[in-house]
Amino acid sequence: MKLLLFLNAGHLHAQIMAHGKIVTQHEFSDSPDGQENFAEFLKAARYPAYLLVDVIEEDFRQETVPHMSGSSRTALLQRKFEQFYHGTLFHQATLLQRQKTGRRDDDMLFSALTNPSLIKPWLDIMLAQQIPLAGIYSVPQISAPLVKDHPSNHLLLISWEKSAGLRQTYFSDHRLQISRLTPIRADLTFQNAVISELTRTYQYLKSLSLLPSGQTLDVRLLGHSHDLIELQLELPRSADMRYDFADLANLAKQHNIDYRFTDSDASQIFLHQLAARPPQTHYANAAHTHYFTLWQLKHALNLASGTLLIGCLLWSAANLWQGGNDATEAKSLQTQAQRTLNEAQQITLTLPNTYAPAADMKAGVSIMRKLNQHDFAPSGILRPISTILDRHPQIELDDLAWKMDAAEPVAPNTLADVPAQVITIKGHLLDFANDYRAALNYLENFQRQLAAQGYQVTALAKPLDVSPSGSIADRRETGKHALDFSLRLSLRPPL
Amino acid sequence: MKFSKSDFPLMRWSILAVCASALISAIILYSSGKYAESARNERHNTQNMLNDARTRLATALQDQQNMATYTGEYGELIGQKIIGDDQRLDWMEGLEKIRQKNLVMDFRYNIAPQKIYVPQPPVSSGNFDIHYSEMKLQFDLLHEEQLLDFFDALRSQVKGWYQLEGCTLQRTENAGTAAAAYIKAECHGGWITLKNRKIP
Repeated sequence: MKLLLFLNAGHLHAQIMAHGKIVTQHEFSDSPDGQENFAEFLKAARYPAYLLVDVIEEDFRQETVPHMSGSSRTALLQRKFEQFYHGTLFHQATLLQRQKTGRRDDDMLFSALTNPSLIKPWLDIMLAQQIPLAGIYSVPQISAPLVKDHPSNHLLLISWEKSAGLRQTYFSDHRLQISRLTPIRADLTFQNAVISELTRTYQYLKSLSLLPSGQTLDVRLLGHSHDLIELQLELPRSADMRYDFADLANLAKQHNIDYRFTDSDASQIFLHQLAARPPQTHYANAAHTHYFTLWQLKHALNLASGTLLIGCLLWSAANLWQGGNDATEAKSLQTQAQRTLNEAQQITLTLPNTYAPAADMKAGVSIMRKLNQHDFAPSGILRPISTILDRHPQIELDDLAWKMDAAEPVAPNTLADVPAQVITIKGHLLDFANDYRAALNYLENFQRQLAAQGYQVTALAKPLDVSPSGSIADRRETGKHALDFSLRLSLRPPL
Repeated sequence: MKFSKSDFPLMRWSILAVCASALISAIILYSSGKYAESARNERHNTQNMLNDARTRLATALQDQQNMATYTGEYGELIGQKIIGDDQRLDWMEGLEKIRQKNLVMDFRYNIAPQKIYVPQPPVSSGNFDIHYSEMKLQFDLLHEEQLLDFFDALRSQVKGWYQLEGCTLQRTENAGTAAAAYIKAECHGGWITLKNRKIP
């Protein structure tokens, strides 16, 4: 809900709007009674208020100022306000454009409501009632959106406010330059006022050089279709001016304004425009909008409360949902666990009473199976070697030693997790006299036969070292141990 | 924008609303969080219960299978007195009986104190400690076959498990003399017993 106020000399119109529609409206005259009634009305209408002013005493000044920012800019504007509008609090400065050359100064439009006594009584009532006043706006200021679609760079907008009079606002390059209000008179109709004032305004613009010489002035006239038809017939034809007749009904449709116009009074266009898109700048200062700031803060707090509560409720709902799921799953898991336990118990009950727990039995048996793999019966070691020795009668065995050795390197295709048999054979060759070649061949053959049985054979000592690195001396003695040798055999079970 | 004390009455309900909203939010968040945490813990606990039950079932099934597979063999180990404490008297009696059979010309033995045995390569021993009592044997032999006969007898006639780890056979210099040993042998190994740590 918004409270829209339309003030002009001697009259205040108030209307409460909700979602772009007028809920209720009242008229108040500029008199003690009217002000008292307004105060009474405000007690029940504590909504954000937008005060639209349409008075003659509004002044516009264009000024070029150095481009500044921050406190320097504020101080500069304040000096300008003091200079131009000393006697009023209701002033504002609008940046028209920044110059593109030179120092790139700012073209500013300074404006003010120069007769504060028209506004102050009503404003005081609102402040006394702690009404959240959003701002004080003027009709020329609100008019800009109504011409932004017009292609002309020199446009005069003419509107009729039934309680104020004929408003003529001039825009150059779609920027507000100047505005005039011709007050209402009992004998003056909209059409007459337009016809009599338009030529004067044209001359006025020319005299101020706001309208370049030879430039055609585009005139947009807002009014009811009946009045516009009459105006089309009565307005003088001239090369200096070009008319654009804007039907209020069409304009309202174009700006989504839900209002039925019965005459050429354009007040509702401006009020609806203000309600929908209030301008950023206005004539009210911080003291005037104090309660609006509080209202905004209050709303922000309420919004924060609501958001916090809703957010936490959603979060809690998610927690509850997750908790519910977990609880359901826990119940299902509990049932499964109980069923599995019963099953395990049933199996345990059927187990026979044995020497030891099954795991221990398995462990004991597994250890002994493994150790059994580590254990080799002497027959398994001696017999294969004996068999080969039987085939080599010229070899006589002196010593034989064997042991289990886990550190022995693992040969390909043998079991790695079983210790290897490591056998050391010491012996000598018989009956070879000095035929060393035959002796070595005989021993070589013996080694080959051992290797064929799967042994890794390493010669630790040979009867004669005929390798290039060996030393050889003549052998005249032919004793029993002249042809001694020593072999190392290693064997792991095959895979 | 400056605020004064007189602004507070205008704002009090909004300020109270924010406070109340924060309080209510905290309470419902805390409560729902507690509920969710408790439900999560319960689910976690029941999941653990189920895992435990599954482990028990798997153990029971494994036990059932192990019983069928290992009972007979384990019974034999008990019968062989491999499971339990050292049976040194049995070993001595068994060795003396073998001596009386004259399978070798002579032999001497020496059993060392028991110790914990770590097989190489290592073997997983479960609840068992593998005990090892080292026994060294010295033989006088006429021929190698006597050694084989001795160990066959040791394996078949003495209760226990003798793990033979190595032997050295050496031909003596006085070979050929009547009634003299032809080969001297030294063997080493140990008596293995398995002692369940859980059974005192």
